[in-house]
Amino acid sequence: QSGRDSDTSASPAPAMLPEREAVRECALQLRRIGDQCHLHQKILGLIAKLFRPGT
Amino acid sequence: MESTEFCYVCCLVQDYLKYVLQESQPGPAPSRVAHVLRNIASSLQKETEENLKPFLDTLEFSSIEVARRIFTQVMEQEFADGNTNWGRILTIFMFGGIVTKRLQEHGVQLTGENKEQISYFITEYIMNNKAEWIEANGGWENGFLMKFEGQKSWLSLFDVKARIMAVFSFFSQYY
Repeated sequence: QSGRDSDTSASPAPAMLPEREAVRECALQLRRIGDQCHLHQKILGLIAKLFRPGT
Repeated sequence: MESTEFCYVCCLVQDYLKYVLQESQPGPAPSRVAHVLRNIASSLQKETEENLKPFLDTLEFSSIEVARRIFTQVMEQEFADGNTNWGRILTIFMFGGIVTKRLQEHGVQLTGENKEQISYFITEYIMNNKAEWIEANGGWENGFLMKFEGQKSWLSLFDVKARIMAVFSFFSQYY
């Protein structure tokens, strides 16, 4: 299951099409940036653990 | 009557928006969480704005109501895969900041009441959709702060170490 919205719903009004596309792209970009930040923080957390005195 | 948790998150959102709009005095943030949020989210905000620009340029942020609709739709799609992490939580604040700036650019006056409405719908989204996850992951103090506080100092330490090693490897070519 991909979790993506299916595009099989009733056709939206033409004016809504670019908005729908822009919303989708913004969401995907934010997801990517958020996940990158999460990964970055995880790596730094790991480095911090390795260098922490007493470990 | 809003819950304490709602007011806490609303304060974080309000402080972040003030900071992004450069309204806040360079004084200290109201809390450690707000301070870290300011630093981490705003450091990513510019890159995010550049990435989203081509898509945001096609959207008309003509009123608070439109902004609320777009904000909610984007958030629903961002989290539609069922995954949540602190990085994605940060993007909620960042996108809130971007939407607010876009409203301003579209000539919507950011009166006190309007800013309150924006903070309210961002907080509402967090409380209705992410409050459980936040609580289950240590909350703002024991989850978010633990993960992100001090990240910058580790980053700079790592950077210094990398530079020293680069200098050593440069000289090792000749000796």
